[in-house]
Amino acid sequence: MLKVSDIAEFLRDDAAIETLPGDAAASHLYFGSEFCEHLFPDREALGRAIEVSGKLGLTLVLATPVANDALVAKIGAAAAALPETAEILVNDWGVANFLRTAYPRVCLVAGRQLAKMIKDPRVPSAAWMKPYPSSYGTPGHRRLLERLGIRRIELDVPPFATPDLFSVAGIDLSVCLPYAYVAKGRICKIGSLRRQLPEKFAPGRPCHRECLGIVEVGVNASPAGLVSSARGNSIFYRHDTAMAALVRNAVALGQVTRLVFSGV
Amino acid sequence: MKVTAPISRIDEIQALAAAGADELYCGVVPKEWIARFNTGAVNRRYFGNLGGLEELRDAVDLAHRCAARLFMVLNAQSYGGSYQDALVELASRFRDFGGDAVIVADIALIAELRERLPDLAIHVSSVAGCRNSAGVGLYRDMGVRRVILPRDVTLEEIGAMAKAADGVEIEAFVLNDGCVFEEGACHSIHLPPKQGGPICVDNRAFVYRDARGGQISERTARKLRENDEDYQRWLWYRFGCGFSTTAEGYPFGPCGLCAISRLEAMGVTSIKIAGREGATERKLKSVEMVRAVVDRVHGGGSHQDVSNYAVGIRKTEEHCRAGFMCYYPEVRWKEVRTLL
Repeated sequence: MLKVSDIAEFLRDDAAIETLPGDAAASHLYFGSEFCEHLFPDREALGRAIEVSGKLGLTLVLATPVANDALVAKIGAAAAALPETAEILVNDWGVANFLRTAYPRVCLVAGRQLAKMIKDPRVPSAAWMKPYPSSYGTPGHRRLLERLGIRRIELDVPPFATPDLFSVAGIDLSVCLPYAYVAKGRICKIGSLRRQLPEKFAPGRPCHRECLGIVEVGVNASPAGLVSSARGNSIFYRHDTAMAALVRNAVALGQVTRLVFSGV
Repeated sequence: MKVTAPISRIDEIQALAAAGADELYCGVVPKEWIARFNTGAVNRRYFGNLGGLEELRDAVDLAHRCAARLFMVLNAQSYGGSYQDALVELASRFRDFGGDAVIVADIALIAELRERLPDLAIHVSSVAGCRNSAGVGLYRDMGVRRVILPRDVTLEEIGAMAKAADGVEIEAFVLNDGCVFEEGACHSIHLPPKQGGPICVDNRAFVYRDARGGQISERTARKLRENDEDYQRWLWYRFGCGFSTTAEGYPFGPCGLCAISRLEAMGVTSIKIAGREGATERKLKSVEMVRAVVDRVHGGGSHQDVSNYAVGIRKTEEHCRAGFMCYYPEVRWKEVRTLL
């Protein structure tokens, strides 16, 4: 079993490691992409992920993004190749519906793109976060999860978050850290780098995955002290100390039962 | 194929219907809502809404007298638990007024409305970001009548979803909406301009970094600069070419006019003109343009005839040629034109 010290060496991120309780152990290996249709792994890469997760004794979680029909078919093929214990992280209700029907035994987790909430790093005060509260945990949301056989949801931590973010009875909660993602689009600036002019910034065109090599690093902090950066089609920011403390507290209270660490 | 257009005032109904809109959609901010929640956030827009329930009832009556249907948006990405009863009550009042459907983005609210108002007609908002047939199937099983597709989908994807819709109506964008990030996957808000405006105007200051800690070559840096310039041009088109119009008042900006005949052939039920907050003249000219192209389609014009006609309306072919103003630019790509 991988202990905190092993995870620390893997992450090399002291601030993020502080969020971990002392008895934490690595349990899952996430692989795939939550944000981009072009980063979904091919069969060979998925096979390697299955092999590595098996060697490490970790449960594989295949992360999936919003998908068109062609990608849904690829996700289906990947689902067929996964070990029985694997989970699939879905960020598209259609993908969830497809998998629940075609692969009823696969364990589905609802990704952070499906937990709608204001996460805008630019807002100057908590008042801006209030107009559109999240709907996870509402009766309609529970009925939907039940229909799709989903028992776990993943959340980002927004600016000015309060402890009630995690007050959701009857649903297992994961929290992603140390970065929160606020926006993604299908139109990708850097993904158009090698396209000819008329075909730039359009959906459904081939991508050379330039985002794997180049990141847009933000320069200025927002009034809340958060710096927005971008990778590929997504804008993200790193949690501040208040957000990290909130997560630590929720873990201590047993409200959050999985922490999902990621790079950018 | 229906033409669906936005209204923000009751006096727009007659003119838009006369110009060729078959369906209209509106938002409303009831006074009771503001009193109860101390916010005007009933839908995604603070502005461009009808002023109350009486006005909503009158709007339904007037739209029906003009042979148009009227839909009401409840299209925030999410609503918390404390809003659920008020939303059900508002949808119920609209239904009782004779309103034709509510447009909803939050799937949890769709589930709640279906449970509590089983006879309410529901359209899934583009903000829900439904991009595949399995998603359409889920909404069909939840009892919705129509799915409005997001903006950045290809004609091929629309065709696949329409083919699999099995009784669910499909609506596709045809004019005016310019968000850059997918609405359903954007968790930001439109701030006042001084505080940054919409996040998708992309005015963040940034530097490019090699993700592996190395140096970005001069050649790559130059290509990145050129790509950024192209992107700024694309943003200008995306945001309505600076919200400009032709001399006749026809608006520039995101457009799918030349794809209308193909959308019709795929079985798309309606085409959507966005912009509830826009000026009445802009809405009128938008409807006029779309209606003219739809009439050309219904008159039996070929895909190419219709496309040529659509491109000619604004007499600015250079904008169409740039490809940056197009919802469905593939209409102009040789390699895929034969497939559509």
